Amino acid sequence: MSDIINANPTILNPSDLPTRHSESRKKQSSSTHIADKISRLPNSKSLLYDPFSSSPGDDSAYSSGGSEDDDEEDDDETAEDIDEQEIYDLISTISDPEHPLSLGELAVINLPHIHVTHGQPTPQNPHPMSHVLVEITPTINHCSLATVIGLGVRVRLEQALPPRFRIDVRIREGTHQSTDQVNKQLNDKERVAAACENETLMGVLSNMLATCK
Amino acid sequence: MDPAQLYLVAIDRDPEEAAQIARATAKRLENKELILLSLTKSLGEYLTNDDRTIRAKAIGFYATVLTALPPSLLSPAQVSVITQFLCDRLEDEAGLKEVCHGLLAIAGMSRFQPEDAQMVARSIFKSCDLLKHPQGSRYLVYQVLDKIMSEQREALKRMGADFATGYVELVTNEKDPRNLMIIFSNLKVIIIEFDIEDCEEQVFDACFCYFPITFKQPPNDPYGITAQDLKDRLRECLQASSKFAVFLFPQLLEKLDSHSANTKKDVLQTITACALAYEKSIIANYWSTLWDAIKYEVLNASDDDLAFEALDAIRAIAKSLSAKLTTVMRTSSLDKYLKAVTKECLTQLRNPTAKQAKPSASILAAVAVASPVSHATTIQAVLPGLSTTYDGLEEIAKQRSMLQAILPLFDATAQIYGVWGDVEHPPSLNNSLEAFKDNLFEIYSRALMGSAKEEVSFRLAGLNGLTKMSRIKNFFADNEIGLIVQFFDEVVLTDEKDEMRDTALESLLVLSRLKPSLIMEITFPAFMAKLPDREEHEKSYDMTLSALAQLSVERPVFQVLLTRIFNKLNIVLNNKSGPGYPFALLSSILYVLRRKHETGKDISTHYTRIVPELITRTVTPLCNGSGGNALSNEAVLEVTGNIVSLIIRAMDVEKQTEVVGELFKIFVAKTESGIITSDKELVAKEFGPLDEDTTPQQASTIIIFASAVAAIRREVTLPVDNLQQFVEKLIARSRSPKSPGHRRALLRLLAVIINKYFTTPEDRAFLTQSTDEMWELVKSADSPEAASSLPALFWIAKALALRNDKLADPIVGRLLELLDNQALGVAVGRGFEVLLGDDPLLSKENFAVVRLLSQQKLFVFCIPKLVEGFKVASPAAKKNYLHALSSIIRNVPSKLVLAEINTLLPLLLQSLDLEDSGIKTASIDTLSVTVTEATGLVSEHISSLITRLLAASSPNEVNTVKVRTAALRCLSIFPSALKIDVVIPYKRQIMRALLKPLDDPKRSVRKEAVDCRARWFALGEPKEDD
Repeated sequence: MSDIINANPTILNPSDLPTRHSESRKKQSSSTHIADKISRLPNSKSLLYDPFSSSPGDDSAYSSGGSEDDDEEDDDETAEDIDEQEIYDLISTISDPEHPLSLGELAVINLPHIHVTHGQPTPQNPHPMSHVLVEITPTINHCSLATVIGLGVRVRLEQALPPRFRIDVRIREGTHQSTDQVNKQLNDKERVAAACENETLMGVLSNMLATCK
Repeated sequence: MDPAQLYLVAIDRDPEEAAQIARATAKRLENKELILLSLTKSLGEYLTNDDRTIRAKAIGFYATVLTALPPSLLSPAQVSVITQFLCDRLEDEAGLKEVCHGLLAIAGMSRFQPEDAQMVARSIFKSCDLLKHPQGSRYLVYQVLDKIMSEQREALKRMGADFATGYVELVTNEKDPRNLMIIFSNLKVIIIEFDIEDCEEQVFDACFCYFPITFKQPPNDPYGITAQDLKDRLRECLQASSKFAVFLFPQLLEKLDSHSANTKKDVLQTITACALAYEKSIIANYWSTLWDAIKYEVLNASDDDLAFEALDAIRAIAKSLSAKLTTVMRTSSLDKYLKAVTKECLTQLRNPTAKQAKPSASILAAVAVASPVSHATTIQAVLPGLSTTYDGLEEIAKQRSMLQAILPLFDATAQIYGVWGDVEHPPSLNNSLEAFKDNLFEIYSRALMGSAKEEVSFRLAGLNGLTKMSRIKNFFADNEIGLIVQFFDEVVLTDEKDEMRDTALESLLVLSRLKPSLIMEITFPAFMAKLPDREEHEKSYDMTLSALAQLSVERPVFQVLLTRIFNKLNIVLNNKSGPGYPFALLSSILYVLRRKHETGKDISTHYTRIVPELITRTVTPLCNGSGGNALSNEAVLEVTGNIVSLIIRAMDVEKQTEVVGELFKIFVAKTESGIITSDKELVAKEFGPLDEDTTPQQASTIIIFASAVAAIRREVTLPVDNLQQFVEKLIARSRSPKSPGHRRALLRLLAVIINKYFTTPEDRAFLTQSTDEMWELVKSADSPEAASSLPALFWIAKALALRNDKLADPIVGRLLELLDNQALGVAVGRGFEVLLGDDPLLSKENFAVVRLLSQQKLFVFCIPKLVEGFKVASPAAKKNYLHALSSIIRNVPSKLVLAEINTLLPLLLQSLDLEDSGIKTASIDTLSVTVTEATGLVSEHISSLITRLLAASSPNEVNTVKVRTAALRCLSIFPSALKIDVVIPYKRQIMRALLKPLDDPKRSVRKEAVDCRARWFALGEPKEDD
């Protein structure tokens, strides 16, 4: 292991990291689960499910064949836009290259520093570009790994976002001594492509991205 | 011919005959027919032979003869002569193995003298150059040494350093694991028992040169020696003498810088072992260097495992230095060590949110559990400092981290001073934490109860601290714990954060085991009072009921719970409740009963309190012409049925006979029953759930009846005169059901009775006849409604198939034929769900006859017919076959499906083209298992599979969120499950195609798409192995 640049960074508690509220209900602990089991009336499809009583025209009474985890009623109609929290969830689980901690825990990635702008579709341009800006905060202002972290964020987003997104990864103003230089590297297509050809670098990146959930 | 010659002739041809010759020779020696001298002499000419194999064989003969001699035959002089002779032969490399056999035999003689042992040792050290010999021969040499060490150890000790150095030189360069196992155990004896003062370093080096053990056990290793075995033996040598410390510790610490986690782990474990084994005075010299090196492994750990080992070592040092100390002594080496440790950790903890704070806290906890003195020293050294730091902290994040950092010290204290209820005596030393009790109580209480609601992790730290402190024996007084319980109650009842409520409830559960009376007196009334009197939103009671149910598993508490819940139920029903709240109240009773049953308690004793009460309350309101109340809702009936069933199941035959008699009086015979506690006559007159013209509400109560009867043992006779007529009645009612739930209850009851009781030839004939009649009606029906006996046929077939009854086959065969039927095919396809699915009533626990492999037999019976039928079916009917297949595969273990996957895969692929979300999901789920389990087959069909899965991942009417999710999840298995050259050609196609689901309108689908794409992306990338 080479010398560690910041051996003792400040870390956030995982339970204090921002999460989507609806999801906290899904990963319930046992007692919430028991509460649900006790108090939630089974819907007529599951508990009293009878394969022989099909409602007319309903060709697929199969959809809840009594299996346990079927009660999450997925509403197929409403669309959910890609928002800041979703971007946060994509990149906050990337590992730091020198600590076994995530970028979220190290506060390198912060929800308020992510901005998503959706283009409004017009008749002339039915598929407008959307834009995502991520500002990263290095743990110390001379962190030479800032570029690698930025590159990791960029690669992750390029893999995970649909092509209509323009991705902008920057170092947050005033948090690094050579902000401009790093920003230039991170948003230069040629340089990013060249970096992705470098096997050692890609090895480091794939380790960082291996923890993405 | 002399015996030696005979032996030499025989040995290559027939080893057994040769052995026989040797044994005969031994016999002759024993009987004095032959003298030893002439035997030895007769070998002379062979021993000078130029052919080395002849020399070896001759000695082999001699050794075999010796082995066959009785141990007490030879005189001391003879033993010495033979030993001398054999030792001389050691100079001849040719017969080393055979000589060793001879030496082993002679060393086992009862007159083997100390001088002989010394001679053997000296000769081996002098003459043997083991490098020239294969491991098998070396093994024998070590065995000889091992043998003489156990026979004549004192004599060898008298050889002084000669033996140790000779041994060490002899074994240099040995690498064979089996040999090393002997060597390590001999070296351990030498280190412990022999005087090695003059050659300590040499002996140490002989051991340490093997450190770290990097041996990997080869596959099919005949000796079964693992790396761990070698590590353990080597460690025993290293820890055997405190005098090794001077060599060992510096070299170990050097190796701690290694990059290999394996080596580091070995180093740390060895330090731990040696710290515990060496004398305290030795560790007192080394703690400083050790601490400086080991702390780094905790503070900068990149691997929890290693940090754990390092903490172990730090603890072991404290433990070793604690030896013989009973009070805190300022000049002791322990005190000096702990000063260094606590100073460093306190410094780190000044900034409690920094990364090294948490490891520092673990270090403090590690030394605090080493011994009572170590605990006292640590607590006294750090708590004042930590409190001061805490008081000066302004950010909540830092305060939270500090509170969390102290938590491990509470666990350490509980480990040293025990938890409530422990019977072991606490240490004589007073608990130093007591001095800080009030302050800690206040800090943690304030964090839990006095901070903003959003500060979840801060409040959690407070909660955890209070819980951990409450556990420590004789720490808090009961009134203090009572206050804490009140805090927790309030959190469980009012907090808006799930995590807070859950953790508080878990804490109450912990305390309910340590301080049950406090929970009964404080928590229970508080929770009960919180339950509303009328149906409101489920949120108003769900957590409270869940908490009560979890806290009520102990019998006295459960009695209280029952009383309160029944009272509440009365009030709620009087307030004209909907079914939700009563359902929840009863479910909480069911939950406790299940938990009790699972933990091995007899729940049949709860019959009197529960069953008559519930049945009366359900049935009576249905007899006055009204529509009844919420208790006759089908979901509530189902819970009531489950409660009744669970209790009856636990009864013996006699008790069950009595209960089932009463139940039949109510539900079937319409006579007065003791179960009904009020309005007996009215019920007998007005309640007739099996009457043709009964009300839907009365009819539905069959749900309870079916559950109750299903739990009856087979030995109990059902109280009806004619069971066949009763069955016919059930079938008749099932043709015109009042609701689907009603029909299902009737048919389950029917299936239970047939499965358990219809075994005589007459009954089976009856079944054949009635199913034949039903079949005629069904066959000619032109709509599912007209085929009203179809469900009954499926349930009868199920009841029979479960006990592997041949009668099931023709029924199932006919049902399969019906799949071609335009009007009925779809309904039949669904019916297979009943046939193969598990039914909770028809179970082994309920004493139903469920034969081993019955499901598999049914599966094997259906699948070929299904596949054949599909091939020849009309295009419109093909769909029905796929429906049936889908019903089947969803209900059998994937193991069964995989066994037939060759024939099924084409059907599964076609079912992906159906416009039915349910079938699609089921097929994709099956395919997902197939991908990992039947890689060869999937590889053949990979192209069409990928096309179809990608198609299923794009949103439309049929491709619901579930279908899309399943498809993407299935696709994501490919890269890791299949061979790289099979999947890599599709990488580009998939990476491109997955761009679309990345933009799916649903977040959960996008998530799957991202994961899937990441997996395909990683495919073929160079991997970095650490």
